[in-house]
Amino acid sequence: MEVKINRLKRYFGLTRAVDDISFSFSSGEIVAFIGSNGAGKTTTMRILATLDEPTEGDVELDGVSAVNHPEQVRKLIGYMPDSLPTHRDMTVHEYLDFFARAYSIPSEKRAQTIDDVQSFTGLGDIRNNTLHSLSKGMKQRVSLGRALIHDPPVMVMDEPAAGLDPRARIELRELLRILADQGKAILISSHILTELSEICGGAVIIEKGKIAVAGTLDEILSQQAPQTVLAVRPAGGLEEARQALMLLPNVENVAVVGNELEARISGGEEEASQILSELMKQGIQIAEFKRRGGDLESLFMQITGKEDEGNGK
Amino acid sequence: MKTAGALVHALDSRMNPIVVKELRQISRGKFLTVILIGFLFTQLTVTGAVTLYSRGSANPGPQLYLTLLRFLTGICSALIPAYAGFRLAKERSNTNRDLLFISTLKPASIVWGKTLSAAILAALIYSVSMPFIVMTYILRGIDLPSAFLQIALSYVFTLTMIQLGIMIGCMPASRIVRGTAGLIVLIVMPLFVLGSMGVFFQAYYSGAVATGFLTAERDALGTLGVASICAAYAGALFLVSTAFVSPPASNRAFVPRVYVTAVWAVSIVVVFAWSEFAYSADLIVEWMTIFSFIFSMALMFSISERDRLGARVRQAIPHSRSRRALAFLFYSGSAGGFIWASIGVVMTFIVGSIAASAFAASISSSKFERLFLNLGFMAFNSWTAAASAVLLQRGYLKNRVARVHTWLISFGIEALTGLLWSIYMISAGSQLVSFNFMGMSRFREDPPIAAAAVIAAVTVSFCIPWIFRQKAAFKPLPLKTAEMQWTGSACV
Repeated sequence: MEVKINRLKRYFGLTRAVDDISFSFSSGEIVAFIGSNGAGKTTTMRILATLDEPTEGDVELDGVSAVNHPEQVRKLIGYMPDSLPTHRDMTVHEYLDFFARAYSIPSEKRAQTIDDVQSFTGLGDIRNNTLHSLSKGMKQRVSLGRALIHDPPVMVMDEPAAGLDPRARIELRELLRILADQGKAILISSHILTELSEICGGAVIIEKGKIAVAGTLDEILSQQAPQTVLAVRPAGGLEEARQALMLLPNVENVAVVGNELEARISGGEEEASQILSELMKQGIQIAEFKRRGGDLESLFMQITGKEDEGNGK
Repeated sequence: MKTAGALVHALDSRMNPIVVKELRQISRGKFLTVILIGFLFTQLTVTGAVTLYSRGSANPGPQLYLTLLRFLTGICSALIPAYAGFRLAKERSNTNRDLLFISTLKPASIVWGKTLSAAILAALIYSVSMPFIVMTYILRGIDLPSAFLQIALSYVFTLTMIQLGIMIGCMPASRIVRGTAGLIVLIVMPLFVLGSMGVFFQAYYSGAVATGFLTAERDALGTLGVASICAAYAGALFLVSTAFVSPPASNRAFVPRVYVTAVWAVSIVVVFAWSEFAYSADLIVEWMTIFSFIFSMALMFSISERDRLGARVRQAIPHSRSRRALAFLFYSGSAGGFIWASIGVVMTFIVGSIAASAFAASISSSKFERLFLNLGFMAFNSWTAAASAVLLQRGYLKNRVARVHTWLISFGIEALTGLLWSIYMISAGSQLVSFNFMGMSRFREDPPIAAAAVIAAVTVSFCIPWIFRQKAAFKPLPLKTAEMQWTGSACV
């Protein structure tokens, strides 16, 4: 399943909430959709979920247009909105049962489908609780369960980790990994960027309705980061290794951090591998050697900072 | 056993999910318990009070029966529609979009489910009232078949009001706009429906008596006629609700416009046939009033539709010129809707003129003349209001008032013109009979229809470029759509 967002525009009067954005993702991929508040994330996701209509452009799921055939697209998409179910007069089971019926899951299969979703999302024990009485984490699970009830190949998740405690976040992360392994294409927006960088293969950063950066996470981090940071843990003496590193070309700075050396180098992967082989040649024993790119958080700050500067802020 | 199981599964799969959900929620919530207990208690009190009050009367039955029926109809036609509308509005709110609209449920299924569950709730309350109503039979003076017929009519009226409540709940507007519009519509619409029912009964019975219809046939036909009027209103409200819930990209104006046109055409035949049979043009007068009002309303609402059609509607536009011209009137689109409603108003007047000459013997020419003047005045004011609203919203208020809210501007202008005309008439020495914001204030003297017509013509003439632009853009998509160009930044 390939999801193509093609030259999407959504204007509200003079406000350009989404201004000509295009990107795509496919089955098995988790793509982070990042942007500040009001950047256009929710509007894009609402269009993807067929809840809103674009001013121009389209979204296609394997060629099926969300504008022309929203009913067909709804079968293919599981949308997890930023609002959570809070009904006082509905239990978890009734809520899932309603959506199972709404997606025309036949009576014979419905009970089993609901049980499967409840056990996958860990809702089995609270199936008879009313939605209003649930914690935020549990409501998120119900929302996820609802989005999964018809087993859609594409998941669109708007801020699924907002307000979750660390344990719930880790659990959500694991669920998302499993879903991606099952072959679902997942577009996820969140402000918790460290979480995203651990599970996402790709990222789209939007700012003021336009795409600032898009690509695989490795690509965009290496393209955007001005320097590469190497973390080196020598098996022998720390000072000896530091001296050796300092003398190598491309190394700009070396700092001791605990039992590790943190070296800032100019260049990317090629330069890093040269440094490693030079150290080995000089007989420095290396226990651990890893390249740290820029992280998603600093990249986001860098991009949104540039935008602000550009606007004279 | 297997067959029974399969049957249960088949039935369960066919049940409307909304009905299942609503009934579960209703039975879990407090509304049902409170209303049932409150209703029982009030009925006991009313029964006791009326029985005590009418002590000594030979037939206290009719008085108690009528009190209970009015009470039942009043409560059910106000509370249940308000409850159903409120629940739907809450679920459809922009901040709470988790329930209804992200599934494959069809808009008509959603509206039908809501209607059916509210109808079941109403039936429950009616059944609670039944023992009390049947008890009035014991008090004498009641004919049970007639009583049940009236209860059935009351239920049909309640169903129409439920549909109205649901339509207001579906309206695509903010909570304040929806609340205000809802309040106005909830006051005006029942009067309109009850008025239509009353007028029909009056015209029907006077005709029936004049022609010496048999009593049993008369009652059955009369009840069927009133029920048909309610069903026609409920049908229109159902289709409008479905259109409100449908995705904005769909051709959502098509079915309501076809429906109104069909009801208009069928009702001409029925009304002319009855008028011919009963030698009375009373029903034609009311028919003209109702359809002039409906098309005048349509004029003001249709301009809230979009000017630019999406690919979804354009795909359905016929390629043949003649069919396309017809489609322009019925398909979604503001200018097409404006022209459709305008044609509706004009055709209603043409049919009225034909009726005036055909039934000249049964109605005074001055009555018809007066009717034409008043309805014409209202129609001209509606044209002025709708055209001015188009010019204002598309020209100056584009960024302040959303296009879907153009009807609000239109109603504002209509109210203002109604007020200004009334002031003008009073200052010119006319005697006000009744005031109406819709430009239908009645004076002893004739309304200044020529002035209203000139103003309407001038305002509409400014809208002609807007109409032509949309007519020119009303073209089907090319048979082979070119592959969309892929120019953006792609990831992963």
